[in-house]
Amino acid sequence: MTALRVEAEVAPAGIGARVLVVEDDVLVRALVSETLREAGCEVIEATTADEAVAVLRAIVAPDVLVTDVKLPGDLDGMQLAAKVRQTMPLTKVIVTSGHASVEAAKSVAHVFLAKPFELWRLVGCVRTLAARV
Amino acid sequence: MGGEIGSTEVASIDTVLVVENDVLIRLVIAGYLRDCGLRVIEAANAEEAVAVLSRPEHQVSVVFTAVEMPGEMDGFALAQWVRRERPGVGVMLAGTPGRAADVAGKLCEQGPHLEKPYDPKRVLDRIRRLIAQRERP
Repeated sequence: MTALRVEAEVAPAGIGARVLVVEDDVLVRALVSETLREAGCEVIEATTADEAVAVLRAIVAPDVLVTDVKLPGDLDGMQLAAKVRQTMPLTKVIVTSGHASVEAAKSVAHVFLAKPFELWRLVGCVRTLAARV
Repeated sequence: MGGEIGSTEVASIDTVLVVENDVLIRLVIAGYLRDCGLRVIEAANAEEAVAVLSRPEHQVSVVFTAVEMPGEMDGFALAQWVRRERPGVGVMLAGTPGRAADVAGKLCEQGPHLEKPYDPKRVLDRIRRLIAQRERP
């Protein structure tokens, strides 16, 4: 996992949230998704914001969106996050990036995680945000 | 797994790599296989699949791939790569969503479709995904 520091410690299972993970790096996406599943989340994976939009049209709104900023396609992660905040007010948004700043993400994200981040931090953020839904 | 297509050794399968560029088909098939107790890694194209198969931490038993995919490699080319580079990994090819559903059904025929008591939200979701998938041109 090039972009993440792998931490064995993961928060206790049982979050029970539906999480949409949008990440174009397959190895990062697989690691993040599997970690969240092990923590008790139902995870839907999308490789681009365009895929995420297709998913959001087809299913009930997720409790939490976790999206990278830099994504191939018509929309980037910031634009996706803004769209979700506008159309799905109950969905909480976590933006991750190795390039974007906290300031840039502040207007669209409930939480910003700078890459590389520890997986237990992501699980903790999802747990906290899902509890507020 | 000895790489046999359509093998019935379901109980011995740990990890399935699902390779499908249509996200709505991919999430339905991957969700179904997870409900059957399999570990599933999702890839959107053959290049992603090769990246996963090249990492030693992902012990993939079966690659379940669509035939038609964008990019330099389609499903046939991926199958050839797997046979050459990862001869111990089984390959299952699916040419249409219906064929993919048939193949997935065979792959996890020993597992439950949805555990009872059903979670209504999950059932509703599954139905909506299938409808959305069918309505797409």
